[in-house]
Amino acid sequence: MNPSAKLVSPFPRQAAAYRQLLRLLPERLVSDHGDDMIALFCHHLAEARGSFRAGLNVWFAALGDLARHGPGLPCRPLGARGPNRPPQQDLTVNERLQTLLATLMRDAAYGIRLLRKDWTFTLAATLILGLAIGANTAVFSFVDTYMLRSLPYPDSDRLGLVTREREGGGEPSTSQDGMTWEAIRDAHSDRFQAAVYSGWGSTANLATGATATTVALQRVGADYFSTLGVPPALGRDFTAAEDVPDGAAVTILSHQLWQQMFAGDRSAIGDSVLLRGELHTIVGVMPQDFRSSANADIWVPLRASTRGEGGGTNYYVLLRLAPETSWAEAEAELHAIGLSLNEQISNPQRRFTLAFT
Amino acid sequence: MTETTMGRQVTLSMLETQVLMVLARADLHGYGIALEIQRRDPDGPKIYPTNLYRRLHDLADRGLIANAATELDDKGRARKTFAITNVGREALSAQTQRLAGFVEELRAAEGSVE
Repeated sequence: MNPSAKLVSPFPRQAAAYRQLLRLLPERLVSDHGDDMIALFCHHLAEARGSFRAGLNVWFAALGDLARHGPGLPCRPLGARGPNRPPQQDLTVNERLQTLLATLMRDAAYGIRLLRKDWTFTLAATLILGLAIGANTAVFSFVDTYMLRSLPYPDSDRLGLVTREREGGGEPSTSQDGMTWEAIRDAHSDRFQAAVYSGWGSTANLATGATATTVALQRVGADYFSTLGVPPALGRDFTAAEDVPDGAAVTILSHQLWQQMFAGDRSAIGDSVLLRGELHTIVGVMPQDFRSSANADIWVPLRASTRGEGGGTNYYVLLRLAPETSWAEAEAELHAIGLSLNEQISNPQRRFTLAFT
Repeated sequence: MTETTMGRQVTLSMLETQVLMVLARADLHGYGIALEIQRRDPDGPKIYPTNLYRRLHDLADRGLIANAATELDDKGRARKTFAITNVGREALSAQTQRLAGFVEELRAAEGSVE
């Protein structure tokens, strides 16, 4: 038998099938010795030639050989560790860690080489990973903000928004008109405290002395801050007298804006600023960590009415449950207010039910 | 089958012993090693590729064999060959002595049966 016999397989199909199986083994071993392995397999097939049963036995034996000896075969080139190298059990912990690190580095380098080899795959994989991570982050941010994290206000589990739902059905909405707000306000319920605010945030020009800037403005009702449970840190809240049409032009600043425009000067209370070209008196400054729904820099009274924007559903009505009151009791009262409002509506299709969310 | 080589325990299976025996005569590639073992022991178990290369890996890791050279076959393909190392020769020599003692014991046992 000539050991250097050339590797020409007399069984091309079976050799090809066996080559596919060898892909289960470390790539380096197959690239270095795959031809020899196939030649040896074909040698066994040749010995069984003429006998279907013997050929089948060779296949079973080869499969068993792969399953038994394949797992755990090293990925490094055969003999790469070199002669006279002490076996693994003789290595110190430090040497083993170094070996592990070196293996990791080689694996990483191998991965990078593979990625560089096929740019299309790399690009597609990166894009898919980016999209998947982005989508996951967006979903988590939404769930975290709206479902997991509580509102940054005291006793936030006792805060709610009034909802309205058409009696004929449809999705409940948190937007309210001026008439609804006035009905809730005038009910003077002892089961909840209510406040109105505008759902429309806007930007405005603000000037004081020689400084001018653009700020995020929010319009809120007189009891907005007290209903949230966060009074101004400096100065006072808006009064009911200021929150009516033609009321005094007053404003409350965020802590950040106060620092920026007045460098934290407490005498800013009572000063005037030019907001949208109109002089406003600063009556309060909110605490440093306070954030409203519109993430505003400055607040002015809403002056809600039943006309103009109040003729449509442009307001939000915030509720804070009174102590020792249940949401069911508050909802019953809201329901009653809704019924009294419906009596004034002649068109049955425009009637609605009030609740909270 | 355990012997001490260079202060280290070296355990050799039958197949590993046969590999060292073949490589002690000439440097060979894996396929050639398998054919040569089968030629010398035609009634022995068939040697399948994964088992053979796993043994070669183990022997190389223990420093008993090493890469020798890369031969080109008739089709110009590179075939990597292996060579026995000095440590491998020592291990083979120790194994030979051990097996010789074992054979003597066998013969003695055979004689007492007769």
